[in-house]
Amino acid sequence: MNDPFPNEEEAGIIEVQEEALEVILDDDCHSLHQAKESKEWPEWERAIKTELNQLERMGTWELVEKPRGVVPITNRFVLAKKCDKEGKLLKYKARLVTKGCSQRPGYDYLEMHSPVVRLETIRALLALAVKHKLYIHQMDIKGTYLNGTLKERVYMRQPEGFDDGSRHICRLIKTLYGLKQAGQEWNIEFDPKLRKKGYQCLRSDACMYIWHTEEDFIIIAVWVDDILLFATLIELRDKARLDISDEWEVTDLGEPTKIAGIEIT
Amino acid sequence: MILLKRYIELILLKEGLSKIDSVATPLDLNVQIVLNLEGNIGNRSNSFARLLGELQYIANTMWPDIAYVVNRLASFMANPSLQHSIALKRALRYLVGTRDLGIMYRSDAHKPELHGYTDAAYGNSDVFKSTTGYVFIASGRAIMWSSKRQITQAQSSTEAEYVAMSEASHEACWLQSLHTELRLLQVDVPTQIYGDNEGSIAMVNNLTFHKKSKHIAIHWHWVCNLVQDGVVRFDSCRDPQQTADVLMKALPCIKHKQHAREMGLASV
Repeated sequence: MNDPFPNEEEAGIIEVQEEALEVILDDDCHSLHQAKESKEWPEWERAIKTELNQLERMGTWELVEKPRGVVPITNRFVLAKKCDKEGKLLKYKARLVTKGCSQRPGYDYLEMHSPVVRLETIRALLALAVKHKLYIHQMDIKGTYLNGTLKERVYMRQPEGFDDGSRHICRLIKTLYGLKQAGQEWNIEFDPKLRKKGYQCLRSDACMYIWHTEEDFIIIAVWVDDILLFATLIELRDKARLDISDEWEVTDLGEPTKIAGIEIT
Repeated sequence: MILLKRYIELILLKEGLSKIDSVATPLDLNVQIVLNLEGNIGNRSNSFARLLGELQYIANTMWPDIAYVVNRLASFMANPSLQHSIALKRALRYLVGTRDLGIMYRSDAHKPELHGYTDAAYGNSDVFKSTTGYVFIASGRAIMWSSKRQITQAQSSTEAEYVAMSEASHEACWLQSLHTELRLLQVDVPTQIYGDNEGSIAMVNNLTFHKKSKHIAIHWHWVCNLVQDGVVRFDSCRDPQQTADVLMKALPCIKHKQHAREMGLASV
């Protein structure tokens, strides 16, 4: 894996782990309360435990005594069922999100802008990709926003329904989903890391990166947590895959199927 | 190949219109869309805005041929009348018939690498402003398009076209810088753009002071510099070849289909 240019068989190590999933929001169960009353509660509970474990592993917050005068922001669980293309139920998924609307400007957040790749750029790239016979590859970053580190001091109540009763509150360390500045902090996280690996950011699109030699090149397009790779050589494609999976935990999706809601075949 | 089939089916399901019949064009040629005549201010039903937003996403990602109707209806968002809702549903019915289509990006040696079309409809909006339409096509597949009401009020159709050309050349500049940064295109080849108004083409190629064009604001004249610097080149094309037509007015079925095909919309 340390070889930057693995041949094709070796590259097979990073194989496709998960088919592209489609999320169907479950209309029957909008809240934790409803989920608790539904027949599927054991599955939901397991999903919630998984989510809480991941948050703990990523060091998302620390429990602290509530400082005086602090208004902690609220949170909730978003529950969704993930289905495959045929509509077969694959897994139950829970995600803890903060209610960003309860954040106060100036106290809990300052700036929140963050770029995504433009749709025109994706289309232009697809047109170029077929012309220059580029290899296309899609990756997805797991728990994207939890990679971003929060600059502001933001306090949150303990997860809805999973309070340990100690009257402590959570001081957020990572940008939990739903925070207004989460997108920006994610951008601040990945941009320098990609640059350090020798990828240059394009002037014409802030979410496109290029790495090139005399003749060959790799292009990376980033749509929040979805990454599209374009490369002239299969070795370069695998170099880019390694570069990204070195830094973050990723799901390798293989040939792209869907980005920003557009189906690609 | 890019597709939006599942998204469209999801919208139809949500609206309860899964069994709706399809129509051939998104906008009825015989109906003139007007401001809300009943004036029932207060009917700010969210359903119009929501469906319009969904269609806007579709028009932006994949369906250049509904861009005009979506843009037109969006100007009535604050106070939609029954006519607007019907027109919106018609656009959706058009998508029902075409949901299997997609843009298949493929390299075609006999088609030009990159060229654009620009057109303007003089004074066709409610406030007598003109509409710009432009589309950029790479090997017969649209990669960038827009249908938009102009910000200034053109005094003549030539001025309207001139403004449209200026707006389109912004995009051409961006495309060129993208291609240059990706090191995929020679910089010295100007991007070819077609317009169908001789007056405006003459103006961009040789700007002379004239009584009828002296009022045009300075920032539209930027396009003349681009022509001189060899960034873009304008040529004329006549009606049936003018693909950008579909981005600024309702067209009869045959023409609409022809232009949609020219922009690369095809079945799988």
